[in-house]
Amino acid sequence: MELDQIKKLIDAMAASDLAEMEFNEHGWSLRLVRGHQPARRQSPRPSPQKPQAVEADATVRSPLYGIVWLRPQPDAPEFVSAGSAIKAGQTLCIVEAMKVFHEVRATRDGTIASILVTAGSEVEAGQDLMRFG
Amino acid sequence: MIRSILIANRGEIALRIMRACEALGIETIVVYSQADREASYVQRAARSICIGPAAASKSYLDQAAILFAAEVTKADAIHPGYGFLSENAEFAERVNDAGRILIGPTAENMRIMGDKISAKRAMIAAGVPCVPGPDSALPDDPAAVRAIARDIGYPIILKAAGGGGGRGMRVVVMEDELLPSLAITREEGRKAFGNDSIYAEKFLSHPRHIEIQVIADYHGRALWLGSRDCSLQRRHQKILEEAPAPGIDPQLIASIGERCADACRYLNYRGVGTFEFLYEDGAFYFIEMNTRLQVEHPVTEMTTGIDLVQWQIRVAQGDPLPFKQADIRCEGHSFECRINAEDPKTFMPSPGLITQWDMPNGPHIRVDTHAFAGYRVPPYYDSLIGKLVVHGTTRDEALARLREALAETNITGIATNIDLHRALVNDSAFTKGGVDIHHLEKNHQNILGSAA
Repeated sequence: MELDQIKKLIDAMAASDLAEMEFNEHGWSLRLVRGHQPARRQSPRPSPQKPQAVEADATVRSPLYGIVWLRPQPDAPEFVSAGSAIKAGQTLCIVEAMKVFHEVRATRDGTIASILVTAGSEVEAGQDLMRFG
Repeated sequence: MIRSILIANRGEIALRIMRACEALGIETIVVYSQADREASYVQRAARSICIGPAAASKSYLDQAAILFAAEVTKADAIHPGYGFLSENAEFAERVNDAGRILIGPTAENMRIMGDKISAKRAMIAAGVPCVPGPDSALPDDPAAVRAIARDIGYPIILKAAGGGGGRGMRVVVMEDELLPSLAITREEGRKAFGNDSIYAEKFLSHPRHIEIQVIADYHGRALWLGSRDCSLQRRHQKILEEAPAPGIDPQLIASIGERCADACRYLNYRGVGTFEFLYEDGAFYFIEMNTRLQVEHPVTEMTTGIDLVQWQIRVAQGDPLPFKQADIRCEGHSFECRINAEDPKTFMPSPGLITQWDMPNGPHIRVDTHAFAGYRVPPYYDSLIGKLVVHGTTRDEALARLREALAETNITGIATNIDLHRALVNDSAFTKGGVDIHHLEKNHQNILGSAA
């Protein structure tokens, strides 16, 4: 990946209203995020076996293939919603697989900007679930 | 005569039941959830009906949907398999009320054996040994409590009547600790469960899990079909089973087997069932009865030569059992490895796409599975994706065959517990035979480590 090319992409993103973009080419991957999160190079897709690889990241990803739940019980309030202030270690959602309920916890403090999945839907290992602002 | 059976289950057991039906010339109807649409056995069935979305509560546990599927297909009988509705007395009644046969015991059988206290009372009445201890709460009088504990024999375990799941329990090793421990357990029971009734039972510190397979027809014949040892467990989930239970005097097993057959006659039990026992220091203690076909039934089929699922169906349609207790043999030895889609180290579930699925074959090897290369294991149900079963003339021969079979097995795309099985068949305590129910949990890391 050439420096010129990266600059072009940054300019293209600045000219648009995109909040985030990811570009993959020849085994390289470039991710640009608007805001106080500095854009940084990222290794190819995080391996499902190593959920730690995404720690401290602005994106919360599913550690496994399963069904995502946003509330501890059907009649309970949601764990978090857009705008929630989060402390590291706090439960964000549950991914259920084969009768095992896996709690996805925040690995950093911050504010949830958006929730990218709907409760009860299937999520792949490594799929984006939520984003910090 | 049963002409058609609706299979109200999924996965390997749906296929197992289908094979039994086909062998008996019975038409197969399978119900499936949207998540199981692509399953191979769904295509194989003579007829198939989608009964709902992926979640089991909206499909395989939806009684109305299953009863309706049976109605529109005019199925003569429903086979519930294991899990899901297989031990649901209300479902059994509804099936019968609709004029159909439930392949399983009577609703009354399920009710009595499904309740721990009524099951224990029935077993005591039938002469089956239970864990020693009164079937009522401890009194307040300290002298009376001491007498009861002495009667049971130390160590004992105090259990809060409202407790469960390992909470509200305390082991008492000697009499000095009895009254203080009772006071604490009472307080815990009152606070945690709103119930300060405490029961006392003999504490078994290193029991094995041994079970007896039974079958009973509608003509008064009840037989026991040998023992199984299912002590290799994790969180009460069996991992690797064998038949017969090694290192126990066959005479002792026969006397327990006879008690179980007697209990079936006493209960008017119908169909197949399993009496589960804890076994410690040469004694058996009844814990519960499973009123259904079990996952580990193949090891009994391998050692007795009896097709349990075919006979379960035949008994349900009223056929008398043609064999007597004296005809039942136990030949050689059999093992079953449950192949689970889970990480062998962390036990983290691993549903997803199977990219490679090489199963062993050759003499005396049996694989019961619905999986194949290209099959996507759904995340909605339990992690069992197959069973590897072997037989040998001796335990050692069967074990050697199992090692080879596991070496031939290669599954990629998802994590499976094959590596755990490979380590277990080389674990010295297991190969010697007779490990207790805590062996796997206590030594899990060592067992896995020594195999690397």
